[in-house]
Amino acid sequence: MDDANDRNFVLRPTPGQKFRPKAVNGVVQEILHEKLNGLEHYSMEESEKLTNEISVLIRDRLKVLQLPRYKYIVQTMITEQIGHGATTALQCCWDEDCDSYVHQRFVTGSIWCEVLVFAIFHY
Amino acid sequence: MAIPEEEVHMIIKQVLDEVVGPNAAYSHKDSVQWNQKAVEQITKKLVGAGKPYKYVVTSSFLQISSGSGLNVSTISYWNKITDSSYMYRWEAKAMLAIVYVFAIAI
Repeated sequence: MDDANDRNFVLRPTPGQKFRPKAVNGVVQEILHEKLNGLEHYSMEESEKLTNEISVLIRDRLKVLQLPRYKYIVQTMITEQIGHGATTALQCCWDEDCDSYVHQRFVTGSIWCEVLVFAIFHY
Repeated sequence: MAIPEEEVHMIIKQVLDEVVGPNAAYSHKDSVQWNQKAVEQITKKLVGAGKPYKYVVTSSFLQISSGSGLNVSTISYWNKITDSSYMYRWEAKAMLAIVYVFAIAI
């Protein structure tokens, strides 16, 4: 009964196989640092490539965690930092017990990057 | 089974037109409130449709005045037959809203 994969009808992940946002915060920050540190100018093409790369990297790192029955959504946004206003809001209708999300922001002198990761448990 | 795309787009457009309106001036304090209210109402309307989905709604407001660029990318790891994502871009005079809706089958 240890592995959620072996059970036919599953309502909850086992404690060891639960998505833990705190553990993923660090992973996301690490990837953002690696990709965006030292980026001096904003350019449309570059950011388009970067947003995609960051999303793929985060997804791959999530897959490595091997949490059975979890679905993931990764959203990455990059915008130019020139003093304009921006806000993000989110609302979810889901199972608070096992679904969760991670929100991380990375700001440099030239760009402003925001990452949202959602993990949803599939019964 | 999934909700038709036009229906989701209509819900988002309706809510944003109602909450923000096309001629609203940008102010940071207001935009935070509008944003919160908008996602709340969009989620409420989606849930009201009574389909067996979990919903994730995210919305970003951006001031447009200075011609800055914005890139958004989303990647999902899910069952593409049952789960779906919707994107809607709404524009007013002074701001731009990018709304993403994800519907995940239970």
